[in-house]
Amino acid sequence: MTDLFRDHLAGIAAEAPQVDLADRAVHRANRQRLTALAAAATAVLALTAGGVTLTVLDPGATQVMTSTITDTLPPSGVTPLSHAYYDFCGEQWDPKTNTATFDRTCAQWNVVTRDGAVYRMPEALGVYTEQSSENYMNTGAPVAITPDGRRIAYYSEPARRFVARDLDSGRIWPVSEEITRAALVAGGTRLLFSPDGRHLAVSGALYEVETGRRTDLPSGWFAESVPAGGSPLVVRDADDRIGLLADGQVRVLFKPEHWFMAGPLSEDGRTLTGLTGRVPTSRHLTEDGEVPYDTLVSIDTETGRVTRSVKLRGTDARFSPMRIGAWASPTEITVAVPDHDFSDRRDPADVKTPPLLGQHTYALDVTTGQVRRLASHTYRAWAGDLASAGF
Amino acid sequence: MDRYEGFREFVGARQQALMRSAFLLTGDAHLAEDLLQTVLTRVARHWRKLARDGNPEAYARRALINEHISWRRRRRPDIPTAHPPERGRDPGDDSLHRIALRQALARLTPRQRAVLVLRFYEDRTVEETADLLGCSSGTVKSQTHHALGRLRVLAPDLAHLLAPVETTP
Repeated sequence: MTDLFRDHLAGIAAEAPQVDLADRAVHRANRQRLTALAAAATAVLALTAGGVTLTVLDPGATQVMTSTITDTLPPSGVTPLSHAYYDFCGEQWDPKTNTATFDRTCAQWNVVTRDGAVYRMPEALGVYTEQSSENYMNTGAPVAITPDGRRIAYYSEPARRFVARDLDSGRIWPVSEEITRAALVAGGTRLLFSPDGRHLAVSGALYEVETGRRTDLPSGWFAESVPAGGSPLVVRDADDRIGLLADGQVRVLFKPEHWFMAGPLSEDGRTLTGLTGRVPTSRHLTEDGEVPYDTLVSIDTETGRVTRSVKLRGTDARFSPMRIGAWASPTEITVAVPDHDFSDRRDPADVKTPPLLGQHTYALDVTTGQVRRLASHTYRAWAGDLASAGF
Repeated sequence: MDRYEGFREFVGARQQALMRSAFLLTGDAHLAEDLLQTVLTRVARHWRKLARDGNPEAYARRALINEHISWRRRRRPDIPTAHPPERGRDPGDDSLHRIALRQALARLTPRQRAVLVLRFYEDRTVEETADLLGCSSGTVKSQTHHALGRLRVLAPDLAHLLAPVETTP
């Protein structure tokens, strides 16, 4: 009878579900370790931007990344990401000449969580190590991270297509038609998530992530901004005309006379926000002394006319946004700005230490032009790429 | 060197055995997974030292018991008994006994559950159990007595399972 009691206990114990906890335990241990280190090293770090001192409380926001990352991304249970980057492990790289000397891991994307954990991501194609020197600007396959950091899109070589992955559940959805690595190496591709992570634009098509439903963009048009819900899509064509795509039809809004970067639509869809400046589209953007984008404009989506225009406050010629992201608040859009100052701050005599590369993200108030720094992401390398969440 | 070298192998080999104990201790799959993950995270943080000169499994088992007992605040309320086993069925039906036992175990204190799991599932001696719980052998014996007595009150149908247990050394 005693054995029967033991048997019953063993029977209950046998109902325990199967678990696979190693990766999650390592992930949590890393997080706790890094959080402890960050708390010990610096609780508050002051940054100076445009003459304004800002306080950044997120330790992940100012982390400098260097060298090889040994931990690979766990299959699930990953907390939200702040950004992704690759850095060639801080070594010099010349396309087509020394690619063979690079360890495969140095050509891979690394992802950084908001709480400071860093993982290598071998499943995402990174640097095109076979790239020719003529096409060096197309260095690697892109990744995109949703504004909330919970999903990442990347090119999977085994799947031969772009996929989206939910980092917590580990669920992966294929979200593009088949595309070869050779095609990617030959021509650039841009990935654009909707703010809610439910739609992803890849080249000339928009995909609903969880169903794989595909909507082709009309020939010659490319996605500029994908709203939550996936429609209407803000699009641009080779003539730089800006339009809205809904129900398979593009309605042209306007053709900018000055350099223009399209941002997100307002929640009610009645206003399109964008950045512009005084540089005519007939001139090259980077001519000396030109301030490319210094004005926020709101455009009526019915008439295509500018209804509000505000100058950015406290910025200079160095403030050169590369991309506009989602709304940070009801009146603020987010932008990503590469920082050229990072390399300027080096000791000119030091030719061995790689420069600090990276970008800042800012919130721009469309009603006042006020600029607010959100985060700064950096890595020390001679070359590389960085993708912040939401861009 | 990989900070966690050998850790994944250790977890792969031992996690299911640890999970079974965690499941018995908590009576709930999610809580058990949560408990074990907390314990394995602690093992991971101390892995270098444990792998070098410790006994990771002994550390994990001790941590499992300690963590479980200190989890009172997170413990779920008693498992609801919306579908109690019906009386009048075959009294030898193992699955019914098991359900009744699960429900009765859920009403014990964490420490009482731990004593029963260590003594009658993991087959540890009174002395080993005392060491793991950080108490005297006498306390283990009295806790065992009280735990079984409470099970008898909570699940009279299980009396035939429990009566001889107490006489076991």
